[in-house]
Amino acid sequence: MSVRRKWRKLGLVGWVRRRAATPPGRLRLVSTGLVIAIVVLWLAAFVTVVARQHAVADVRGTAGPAFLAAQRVHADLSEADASAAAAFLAGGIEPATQRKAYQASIAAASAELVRLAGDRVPAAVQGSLTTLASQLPVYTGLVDQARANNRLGYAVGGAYLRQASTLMQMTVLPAADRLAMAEADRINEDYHRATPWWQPVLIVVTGVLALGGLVTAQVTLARRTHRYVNVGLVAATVVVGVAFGLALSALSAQRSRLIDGYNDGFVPMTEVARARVVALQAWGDSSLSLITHGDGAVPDRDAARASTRLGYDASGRPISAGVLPTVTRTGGPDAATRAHLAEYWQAYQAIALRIRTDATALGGFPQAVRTALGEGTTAFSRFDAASDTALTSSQRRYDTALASADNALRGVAAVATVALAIAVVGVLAGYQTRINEFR
Amino acid sequence: MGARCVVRRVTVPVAVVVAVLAGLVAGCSTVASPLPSQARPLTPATIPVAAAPTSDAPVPGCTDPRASWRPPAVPPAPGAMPAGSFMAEIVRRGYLRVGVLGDVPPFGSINTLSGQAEGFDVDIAHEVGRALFGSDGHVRLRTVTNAERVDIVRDGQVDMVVATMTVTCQRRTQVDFSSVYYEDQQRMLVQIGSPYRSLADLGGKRVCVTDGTTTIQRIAQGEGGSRPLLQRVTNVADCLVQFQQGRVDAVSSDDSILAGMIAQDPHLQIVGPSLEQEPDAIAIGRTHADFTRFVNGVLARIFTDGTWTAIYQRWLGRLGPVPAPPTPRYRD
Repeated sequence: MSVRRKWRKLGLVGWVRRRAATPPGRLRLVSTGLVIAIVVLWLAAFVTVVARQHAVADVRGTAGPAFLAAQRVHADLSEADASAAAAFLAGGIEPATQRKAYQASIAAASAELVRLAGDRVPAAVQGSLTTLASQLPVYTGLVDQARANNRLGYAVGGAYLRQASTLMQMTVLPAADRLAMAEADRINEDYHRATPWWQPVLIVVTGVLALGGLVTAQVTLARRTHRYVNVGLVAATVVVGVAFGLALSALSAQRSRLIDGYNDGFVPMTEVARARVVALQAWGDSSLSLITHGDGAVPDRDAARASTRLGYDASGRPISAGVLPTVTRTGGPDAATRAHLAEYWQAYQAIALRIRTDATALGGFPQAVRTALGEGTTAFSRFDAASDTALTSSQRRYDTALASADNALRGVAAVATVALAIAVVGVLAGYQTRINEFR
Repeated sequence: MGARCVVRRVTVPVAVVVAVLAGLVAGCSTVASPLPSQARPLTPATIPVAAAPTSDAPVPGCTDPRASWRPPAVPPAPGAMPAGSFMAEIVRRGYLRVGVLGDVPPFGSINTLSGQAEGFDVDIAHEVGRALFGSDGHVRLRTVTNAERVDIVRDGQVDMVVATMTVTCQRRTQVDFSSVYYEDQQRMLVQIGSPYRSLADLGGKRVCVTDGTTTIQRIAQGEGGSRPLLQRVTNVADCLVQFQQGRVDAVSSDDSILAGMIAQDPHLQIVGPSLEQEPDAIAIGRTHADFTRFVNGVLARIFTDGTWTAIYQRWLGRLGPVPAPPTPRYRD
């Protein structure tokens, strides 16, 4: 073993020694070393760029759209549930607009579900997708049974609606949440794959070695031969330097655009999305509380929890933590679209509080229903529309940032390959002219 | 001199290299995309466990829960309530505060067209209001659930609760009751064509009952060794849903409430003997016996002048011929 290794070592060392014995051999040796350094730099840059392109493509093409779809399913179903309750509250003759809103939301959610089913969802949450697909028809069935009974003036309609809403809030929406969380985890993994810290470090190290080697070789050559400019080597140095700079700046641009996408797109988008569904939950609870005719304890408690999450206590006073204060604090280019969310919510919550007080007040019930259907719905719609706008703009921002992160890397691998191939040719040509002088 | 030179030659490049590397690593660090904490889902609400039904233990001093305060020989005329009485306080306020059920037709439910509460109980409440004020429009209703009926009277949130409330000695320790205004029977509701004829047939079967009612204890006892499984719900209307979805085999409640369910679903029927007498009375705060006496006076009058019969006819006529009004029992 050790003998064989010794032999092999002796063989390589012997080969190098034999080569180094003559001046042209020495030059060949140096040029081979330079070529190896350039190829190593090319490998590092090429593999890095391609791997990062794949990771960004995964965020843009798979995990990102699936996350957005899961988030939209959640929003659409929340909207449907709240609209169904509001329509029911209006009595046997439902307002056409609420009914349309309900139907549109269910249709949109179903369409998104079909899309999600077509994508490859992680195996761990396949069950959640099944839950969504199987429970949604059960939900709509319950809602329609509630409507039919309500139309006939039967009190059991309210009980059906409560059951439908419980199914939605306890089973269907958590499944949509699990799906979205799994996709968010995938996005996080893709982000990690798109920006490993050691890749640029590797490129810097190999780049410095290649450039350093080229410069040292030229200095040595100039001393030995007194020919100060070797066109081939100078060209190689310039081209390596350009490719090196290009690769590093592309990586840096890609990284900073991913960061922008996260800070200006993903964070506000997910926060506003959460604020919206939590607010929808509170609105639905407010309707359910009225439909229950006095047994508002359960939905009222739920609405209070939702409002706490939004950043306001049960009586509408701001508390330090919560989604809406965080959303308002989040700066960024689209901050203006989010600026009024907290204010709109507070306006709605004030009305919701009045509705609740009226509902349990003596003789206040009809007034509470009127307020809920009128002012309450108007105020909530304003919040909902504003959060939809904020959501859309941050979603667009996210898309744009991901696209530009992708663009930052586009063509870099090809340019680096061509440039470094030119550099190799330059090195070989540059040394060949010197080697030829020995003939 | 030489040492400084070495220091310069060694330290400066090292410092530069360290700074460059540090900058490089900082500018290249891996980027994460965690879901912001505020974007995480709200944990689903835990469904609160309803309070256990009131115990069946005897209450000392309570021999006849039906006996209520004897009404005055001459009831005060509307608008002329004795000074310092609770009635005078109500009249001064301008309205009577009453809790009624919101989803239990034909006793108390919200009319989907008018949005107003209506039913047998609501009409009884209006009679009391008329006796106090001499005119309509002085009754303010709020809907209550079975579970909160006792609390809101005890805490004085309403003057009285008319909500098919069964008189028991346990409840009597917390609120006062008027004389009985409706004799309810606890019965069983099953599907037409089902093999169940009484509670005795329902051993091991699921029977729906409403939380906070006296029904629960009676069903839990079972009959002839058969023990039904209790399916407890918050609102009595939930029992009908459970039934229509095939989750329960029977519903037990007061026959008047079961009649309300039959009105919403013609495939159901009431079976079996009366499981328990459920005398319904108006719950009134324990601190104003004068008001209880006044309400008893109103009830005694409507029992005899045909008003009670008219109300029965209006809301419960489909149950069959109108029975005789309940016979009030009093204590002094």
